[in-house]
Amino acid sequence: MNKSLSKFLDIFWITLIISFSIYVYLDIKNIFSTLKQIQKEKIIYTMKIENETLAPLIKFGFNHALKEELKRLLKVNTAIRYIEYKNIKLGSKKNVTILTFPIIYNHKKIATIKVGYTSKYLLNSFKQKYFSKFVIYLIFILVISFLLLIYLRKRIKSLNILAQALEKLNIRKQKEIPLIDDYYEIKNITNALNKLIKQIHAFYNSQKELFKKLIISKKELETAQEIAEMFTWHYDCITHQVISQNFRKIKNKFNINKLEDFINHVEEKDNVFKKLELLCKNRLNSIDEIVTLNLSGKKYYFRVEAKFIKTKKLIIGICANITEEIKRQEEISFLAYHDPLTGLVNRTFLQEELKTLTSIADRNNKKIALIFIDLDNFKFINDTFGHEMGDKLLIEIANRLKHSIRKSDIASRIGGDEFILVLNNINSKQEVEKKIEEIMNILTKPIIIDNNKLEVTFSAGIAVYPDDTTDISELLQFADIAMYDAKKSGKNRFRFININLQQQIKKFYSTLEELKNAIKNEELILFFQPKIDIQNNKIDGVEALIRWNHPRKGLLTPYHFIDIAEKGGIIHLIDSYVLEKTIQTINKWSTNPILKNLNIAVNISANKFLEPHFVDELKSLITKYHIKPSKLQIEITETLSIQNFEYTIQTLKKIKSLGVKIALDDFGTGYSSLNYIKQIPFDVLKIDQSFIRDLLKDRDDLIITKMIVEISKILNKENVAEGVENEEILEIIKNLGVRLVQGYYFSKPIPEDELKKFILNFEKNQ
Amino acid sequence: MVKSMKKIIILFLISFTFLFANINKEVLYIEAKLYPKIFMLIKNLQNKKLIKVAILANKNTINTAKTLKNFLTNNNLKIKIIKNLNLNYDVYIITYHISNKTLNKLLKHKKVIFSISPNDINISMFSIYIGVRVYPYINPILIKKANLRIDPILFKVGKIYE
Repeated sequence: MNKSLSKFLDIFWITLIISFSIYVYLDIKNIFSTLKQIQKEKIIYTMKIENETLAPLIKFGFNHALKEELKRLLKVNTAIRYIEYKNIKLGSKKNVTILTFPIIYNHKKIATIKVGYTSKYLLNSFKQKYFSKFVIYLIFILVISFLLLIYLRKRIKSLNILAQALEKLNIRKQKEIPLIDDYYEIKNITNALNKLIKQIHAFYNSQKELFKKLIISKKELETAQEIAEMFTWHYDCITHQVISQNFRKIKNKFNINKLEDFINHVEEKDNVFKKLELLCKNRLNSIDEIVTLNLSGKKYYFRVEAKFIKTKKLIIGICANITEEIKRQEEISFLAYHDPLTGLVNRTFLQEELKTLTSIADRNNKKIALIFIDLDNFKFINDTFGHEMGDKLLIEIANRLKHSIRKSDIASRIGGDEFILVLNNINSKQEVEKKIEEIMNILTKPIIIDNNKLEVTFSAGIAVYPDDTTDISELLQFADIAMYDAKKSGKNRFRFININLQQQIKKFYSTLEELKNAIKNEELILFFQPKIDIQNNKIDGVEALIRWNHPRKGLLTPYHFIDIAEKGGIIHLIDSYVLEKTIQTINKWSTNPILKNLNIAVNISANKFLEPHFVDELKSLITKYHIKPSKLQIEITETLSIQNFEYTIQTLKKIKSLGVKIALDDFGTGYSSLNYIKQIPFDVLKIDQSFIRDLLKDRDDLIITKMIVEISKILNKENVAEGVENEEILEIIKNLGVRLVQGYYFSKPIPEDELKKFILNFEKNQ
Repeated sequence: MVKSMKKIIILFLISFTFLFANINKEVLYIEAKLYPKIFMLIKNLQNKKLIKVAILANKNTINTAKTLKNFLTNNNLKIKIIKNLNLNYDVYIITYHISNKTLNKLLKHKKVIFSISPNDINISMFSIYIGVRVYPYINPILIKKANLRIDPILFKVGKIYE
């Protein structure tokens, strides 16, 4: 500070002196020139004045007087050093300026006089005066400068103190600079600096807060990166180097010290670098690659994403470990195409693969055999030994199947105890026969699971591509049908699909199609079988039963189409149809004097009952047709009630809460325990007709029926005996205390018109 | 109109003539103050402490000469009014128009001649010229003729008669 100030002062002084000297020099020069001019003018003026004297002297020839006059002039005027007129030459010509003057008399030039003059005396006189003035001025300037210097030094000292205070200023602590001088400018500077310090301090604090936030978000980001096992990197398009600031965060995880080592382990390294170069040349928009790393025998997957920053000639990217994600994707993919229990491929994979295999077979002019295998009596094993044992059995069978086929063949599990084998490159049926016999032999060997020796048999159906069909779905159906045929034929055997079976399938599908149309065209109609209160001799209600009024075949019972509907997956449509028709009938009967007191029972299949929106559908139909819910009775089978027990109980409770009555159908056939029965919220118990039918012949059935009736009484439930066909059975039933009966003894299922007549007749006979 | 104009001109000329014929006292006074100074510039007058001055007068100008004498009060002047010319004086102040003979005589003896009337400058060396200002009236020809040495300053301050 002091150095620069003194330097400044030096320069100032030097400049001042030089400027002053130049000024003085020019001024003197100017003055000299002016003085010379003045001297000249003075001489001219003098001579002009002298002209008045000299002219008459010359004119009238006063030579002596002229000479004297000229002498006097020379004497009096010190500047004039030389005068020449004709022969008169006075003074010295040395160092003089000669001027020639005309002598004018009466406006006429009568002579000329040469006058030599010098400015020396005038200049000397000026020099003396100027020097003395100069000295005075110099002294004055020096004094003024000295005073100014003292003054400035004082101010500059204040500025120096201010500068020192600024140097010592701690930005972290807001401390004002004290006022060191009352001088106006210093005061202003100090105040301005204090304002600036305040602003800087405020800015510092805001930056500090911002920095803290930045650190926190940086830490969060780093933690997130650490959790996500990722790091950021950048690639310099000029030096072709990859640099990462936060690679260290994941290096311990993979036991790699350097980024270079990491890069060297990337299997697709060359490809990635090629793409980086393309990105640098703007031939790519971005990079999104999954790369593989083989580290200590383990495979890791990383996602590499990058973008080119054109302005910086830089590629910025991330590298994230997605090994777990890839593995999960693989698992999902595996699960999508594999059976989780056995590890065999599933139906989806099989169907997709079959497309490829059939193309290959077509190209190679070979055949494919599709073998549908189903365990015989697997349900029995499952029920007897439990599901765990059943699963273990399936796993063992899957293993045997896998080992019994070639690598080019496929073994798949398509559900439950159903397996499909695909044998490739088959030349003939005989070859398939031979192969299936081998497989059956392997499969039927006893299996020991948890010390239980199991001997299982299989039924298999075979369809051959392209001999039987070229359609893959049809091929599967054919194999399935052939398998059912094998089952029908006594199990533990295999069957090839044949023309008869194919016709059956065709028939099945045509019937299914007709059934779908029947629903649309309302060809399905309701028949009603009355339920008779034998204790009070009156008609209590009816059971609604479906009939198909086939346009060509006439009236068909459910036996002809329910099985097809179930297999064709449209049973729920029939259930919905029957339910709506029943509720509609209740509504219709509510105004009929003969039928209005009847309640109607309707059978609901397990499929329909287990639909998640069944209760909502029921509720909406009740609302739609404004019926009294107690007029409707939902019949579910005992077997259904114990499947998904918790869900069934909940659904039944909801149905009951609507006011609808519940009947347990086919009671006695479902192996259900009394403990289960106790929990089911039903109203009516229907004794299965298989017990009723043989009451006269089979004493056990009588005992069972008696027990069932007792149970219903204990549980305080209504009971209904189905299948009452003659008077003897009716008598027994009546004696057992059954109140309601239905069966051919009273009436077979009849249409609405006949029902009216039946009611009228029944009432008439009573 | 023409008659009246003529009258005015005649009157003017009469008055002018009268003015110069009878020089008033103021002019004489000025001449009395001026002429001694001119004496001092005439180098031929060697004894400046006593300059003998003759006022040449006739019966017409005697009073004027007397008046002039009275005005010339300088101690270093010895003044006498003379009617007949004699050459004992250094300076001659003529009050009337002298003859050429008288003039030549004076010139021959290098006498300094002053006239009180500027009209007589042709027969004197110095007189008084009255214009906007009052100047010494100098006749250099006569001065040269008499071979007088005068201070050139006179040519500067005086009016030259040619």
